[in-house]
Amino acid sequence: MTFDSQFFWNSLFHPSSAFLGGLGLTIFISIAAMFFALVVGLLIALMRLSRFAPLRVLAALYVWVLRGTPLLVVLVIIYLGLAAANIYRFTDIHLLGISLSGAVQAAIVGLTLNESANISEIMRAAIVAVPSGQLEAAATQGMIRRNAMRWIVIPQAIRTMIPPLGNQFNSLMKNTSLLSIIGVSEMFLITQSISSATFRTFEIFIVTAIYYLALTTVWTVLQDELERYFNRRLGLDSPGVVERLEDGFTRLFIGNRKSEEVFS
Amino acid sequence: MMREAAVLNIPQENADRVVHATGVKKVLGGKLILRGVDFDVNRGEVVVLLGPSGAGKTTLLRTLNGLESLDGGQVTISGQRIGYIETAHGAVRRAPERVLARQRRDIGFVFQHFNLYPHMTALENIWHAPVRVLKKPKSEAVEEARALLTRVGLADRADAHPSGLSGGQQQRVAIARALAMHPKLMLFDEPTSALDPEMTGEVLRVMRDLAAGGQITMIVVTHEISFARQVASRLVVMADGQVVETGTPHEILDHPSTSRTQEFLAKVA
Repeated sequence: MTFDSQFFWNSLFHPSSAFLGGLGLTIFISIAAMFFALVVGLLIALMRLSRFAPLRVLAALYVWVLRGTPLLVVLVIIYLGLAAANIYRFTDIHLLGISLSGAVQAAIVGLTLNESANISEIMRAAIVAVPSGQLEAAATQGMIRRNAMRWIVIPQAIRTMIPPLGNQFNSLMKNTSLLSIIGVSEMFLITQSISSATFRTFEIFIVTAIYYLALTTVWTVLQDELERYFNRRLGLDSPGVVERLEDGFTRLFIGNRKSEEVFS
Repeated sequence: MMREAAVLNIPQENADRVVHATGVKKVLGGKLILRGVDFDVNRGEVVVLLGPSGAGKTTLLRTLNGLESLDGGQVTISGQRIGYIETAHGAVRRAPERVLARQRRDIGFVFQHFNLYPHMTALENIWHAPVRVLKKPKSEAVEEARALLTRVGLADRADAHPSGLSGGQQQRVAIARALAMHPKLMLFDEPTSALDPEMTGEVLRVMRDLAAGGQITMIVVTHEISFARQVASRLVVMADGQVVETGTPHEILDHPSTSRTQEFLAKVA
């Protein structure tokens, strides 16, 4: 076995600026796509719950198509396919001193399409899971349905949707590695080019794996904080620091302790 | 606005009559739950609905503020037809959402399972609708919410969330929440049925105080016979989707005249 440990440690702790650029782009695209996917997802979820049948059908079609097609295929269609067919070509734009390449735009659109379909289903399930008594209570207080949704149902549904939405963001971050197919110079593509320039494929991809792992781990911690914040707003207990560390450790490495208690 | 005006212009033959329900029919799950119920309540009355489970008491109560649509008959509260409007040609159709929502502001409803808003504190539960629906200034609504919490004996629990309150406390907050809308009519759907026995007393006490105030017309579905005897001005006994008997607590509880009432009382007493 040959393992260039000096190259490995160097790449891990002193990554090239190109690598850091790729990391930055990965983070940027993830956050941008998640933001748009949340907005579009909520819209689709509300359409699916609408009393107006055509909206429901439209939303169901959207979810059906985008949940049933691979992200990779969607990306190629919207970036390469649309251009090849002379329908739409993503061109570089320059806004407020930031330039956004066509590929990055297509990447954000593709990820948004793909994720919003999943997210809308998560949101719909969370909204439907709010007990009907809540809507009834709001109705007896003279709220119309729209306001009951806005003030009573959705705030409660948010608490339920945070864990699955967090997991969704986690997988979105990992899915950005697929963007290399349309030439977005995110972390994976940069790694590939380093690999082919140095032939240190094993070392550099281990480094990249560690960086992806760091991203998702940081997110797991943030997600925990977010869940705790919404629990507090619901008046549920917030555990102390020691329990939180324990919980975090358990969650990462051991799994759900609760189920063990129930079944042991 | 024209539609609402038309609703309001229905002549009131009896100014003291708050609830006027005639021939109310309701089908649920293919079963006829209400078989043409006639039901009137006058201003200031405390009416207790009694009867075996499945008699249709809760369903009748829910038709009074449009939580259940009707399959026949009509419900009028303070001269306004609830949930339906009559067009110029005499046809009847569902009222627009906003019309029903406006009518419901004057009708308080207390649920068996409280249905407090879990993401709000006790205080927020109470001021939310007055601020959001009635557009009251927040400071005024909060002040009033505190006064209501004091009235139901929970001034010190203002910042607790429902999850931190006992069932009895939650139900008292729910009553305060309904009162915050200044309803003319309060509907109670088995308000103590979901409570542990030691907690029913505190809720019934609040309801008793409310009845003693004499300001609000109350309709209560309950199995608490002693509450019915002490607080009700009139009892209405239902069985099989119909009203079988009505009278004062003394008449009904001590001298029931129908066999259905006698059967029911024999079971609960």
